[in-house]
Amino acid sequence: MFMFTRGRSFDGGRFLATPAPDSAAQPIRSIDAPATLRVPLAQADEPAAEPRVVTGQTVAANDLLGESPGGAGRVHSPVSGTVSRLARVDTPYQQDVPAIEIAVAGAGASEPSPGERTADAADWPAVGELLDRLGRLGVDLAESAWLWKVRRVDEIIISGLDCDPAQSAHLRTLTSYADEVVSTAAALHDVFGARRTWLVLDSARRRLLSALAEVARGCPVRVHGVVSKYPQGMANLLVRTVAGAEVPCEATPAAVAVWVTDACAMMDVFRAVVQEQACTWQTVTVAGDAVSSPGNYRVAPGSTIGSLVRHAGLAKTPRQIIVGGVMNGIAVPTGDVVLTKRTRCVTVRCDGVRAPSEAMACLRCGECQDVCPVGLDPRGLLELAERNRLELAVRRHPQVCLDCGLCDYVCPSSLPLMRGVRRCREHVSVR
Amino acid sequence: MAAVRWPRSCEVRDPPYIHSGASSEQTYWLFCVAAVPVMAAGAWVFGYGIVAVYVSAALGALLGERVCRYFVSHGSRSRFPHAMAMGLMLAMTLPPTVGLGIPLVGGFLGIVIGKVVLGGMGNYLWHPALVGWALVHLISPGALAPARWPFLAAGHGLTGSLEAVMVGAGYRGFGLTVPPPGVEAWSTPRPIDRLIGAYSAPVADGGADRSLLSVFRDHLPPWSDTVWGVAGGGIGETCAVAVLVGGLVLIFCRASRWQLPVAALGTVAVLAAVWPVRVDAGLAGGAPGAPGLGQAASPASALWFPILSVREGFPVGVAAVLFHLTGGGLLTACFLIAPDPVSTPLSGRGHLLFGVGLGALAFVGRVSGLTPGSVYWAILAMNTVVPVIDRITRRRVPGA
Ligand code: SF4
Ligand code: SF4
Repeated sequence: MFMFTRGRSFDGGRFLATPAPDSAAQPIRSIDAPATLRVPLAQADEPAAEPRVVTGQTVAANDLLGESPGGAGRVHSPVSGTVSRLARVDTPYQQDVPAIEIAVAGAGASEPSPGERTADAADWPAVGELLDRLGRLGVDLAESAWLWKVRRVDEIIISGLDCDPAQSAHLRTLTSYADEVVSTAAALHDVFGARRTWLVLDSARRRLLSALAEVARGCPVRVHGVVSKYPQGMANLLVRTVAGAEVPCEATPAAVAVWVTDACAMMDVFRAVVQEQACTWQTVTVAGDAVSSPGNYRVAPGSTIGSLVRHAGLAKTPRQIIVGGVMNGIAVPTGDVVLTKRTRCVTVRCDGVRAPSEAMACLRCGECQDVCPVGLDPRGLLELAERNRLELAVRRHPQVCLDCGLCDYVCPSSLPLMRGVRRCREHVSVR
Repeated sequence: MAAVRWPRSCEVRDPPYIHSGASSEQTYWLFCVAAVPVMAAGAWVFGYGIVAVYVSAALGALLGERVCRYFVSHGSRSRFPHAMAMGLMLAMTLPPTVGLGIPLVGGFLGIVIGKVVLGGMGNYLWHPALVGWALVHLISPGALAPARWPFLAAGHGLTGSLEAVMVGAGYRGFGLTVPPPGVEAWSTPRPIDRLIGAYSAPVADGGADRSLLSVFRDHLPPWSDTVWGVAGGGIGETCAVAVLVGGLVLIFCRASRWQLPVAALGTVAVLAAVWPVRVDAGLAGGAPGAPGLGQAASPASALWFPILSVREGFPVGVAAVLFHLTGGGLLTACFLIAPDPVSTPLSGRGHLLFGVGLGALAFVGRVSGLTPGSVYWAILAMNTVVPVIDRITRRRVPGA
């Protein structure tokens, strides 16, 4: 069964035009940290960590700034400097989050350069110690709690696909750090005793595919090209097309013993284990027609979107700032919003921003149902939500929605389908 | 270069921030565009006067829309293209002799009753144009199903008069029969009505033998006439080429799905190939697969698998299948009328089922001689079961 489904794509989805200019063409550029960083203590929508520093304290790069009571969710300092106060900031994912404000020592502090150690030279610790060390250095892997528990996975899927069409952080990381990513993947394969480890990327990138296959020769990592139909990069769909398994409803890939991670996370692991660096600076794609040099940048968490975009240059007055990409990112009102370790992409747009069209009667064209990568009927779910018949939604499994945005994207009647599906989902989850 | 400034505040709303650009008004404008080749072919075959039929049906529909605008909840941008498309679809089914009152009334009723009263935009169950058609059919039964259907003779295309008509005695085909002086049009039954005589009991028609061969030999024009449209029929029904062009535009522009016409035409073709025709004693036995079948019974018996029949070197079975496809309103119904998205199933698989049901009902209605225009009744019947088709063709949620 595995062999038959492998290499195929999933049902639904859409080929989206890649935006020009291609942000993947440029090498990853490192930029200086702004003079003041306000490092948020929550990376996404989880509860904030507790500060472990006090005002006036001097910190060095990689020093601990805060951690959650359980010892998870550690936040480290990306730079050396002085803690000037405990501030509160808005992140794209949460408003009014506690943050540590650091006055950066010396002008133009950039990412600390690691030692010259390579993966081959490193001794990879056993599972327990490895996960311990990653946790201590603030590398939060997807499903790390599960990894802690099972300490062994069947398949590891390392995604080089950028889910959103505007983003290229994973692709560029694979291009620039092929050796590091492959050797980290091979080491994790052994550490976790995986049956198979996949390095997945867009099958249209033939040159990169063969280069990676060359790098991976003789090691257990299988380089695998998949058709990059949006939203193939999402974890459950990767499990479906690459591992040929179906993630049960309301579960994560852990349920089928597959660990889905990505190229940037491999670099975090590499830096933590081999170079003993805490997880701080991140590769972030800056895209959109309002920036003059789109590309990938190494960014310190705690920088504002404005300070990042200043490096990429503004070509036009921005009208929309999206953290994430154009399909399912989060629009933020100003450039003062602070980036976290989770941010992978910032899209700054000018042209092409348009008010949503007036919603019209559904045409019953069936496009939304065709395009949904998880086989939902968004039209039917919206109807249930509008008629307040949410109890009927249960049997239609709205919880599997990936928030990919395709149903809204294709709907000729501009109906707010995602919102309808979300209402059904919320109803089902509180039930 | 002047410094570009950050705005005080940027636009914040829900994702996605881009859109495919598809819109419902565009879909219905495409249906209107797809009607253009059919209209042009009709104008040539029946005289340019029939454009007035299209215009009046569209006007009737737009008028209905205008009257109902206070009851139609939303969809303001697609309102008028939708009404217009419905009017044009209705006009395609009408005979060239229809006058202007019937299309006007039909278009009006189609929108007011079929669209607004029976559910409103996006929710109606039955195809509004065909609801209008059915209502007109009830009001004035003769108007939509005349016994003879005129069309212009060779050399009189576009500008000839359907009044200067000769009732089709001796008509052998468009290129084969030269009209006598003063005659500008022929009047014949529709090819399909001739053909289905072979499925029913003998009809006294000058004592003519109605077995398949004699139908082709004595009563039907060459098949190519039905492809080019020079045969009797509704003003948008006769020209297979124009219908195909319009239909392919719709499919290519994703306004309709290929599954529906393919399934419907395929079903009709298969049924026409196997459904028994009446064969007169003495003429039977032409099918190599069924030797002697029909010989025993007298005066007439059934011949199964007519597709296999070859009589006097002429593949009558194949010809019968071809006439079934192009000799009546089937192509127009499948390519241009039935694909209205609102009254068809949601998914491609649903369209397949819909097409199969449509083809089967249309064929059975045809050969049992229930009513002319059985294909339109078949669409209305299939519209009724669309909710059921939608339910059984809903996609599986992986992992659920
Ligand atoms: S319902 Fe959810 S998963 Fe399906 S297309 Fe819409 S946003 Fe994507
Ligand atoms: S895409 Fe929009 S118009 Fe088409 S069926 Fe879905 S909700 Fe209706």
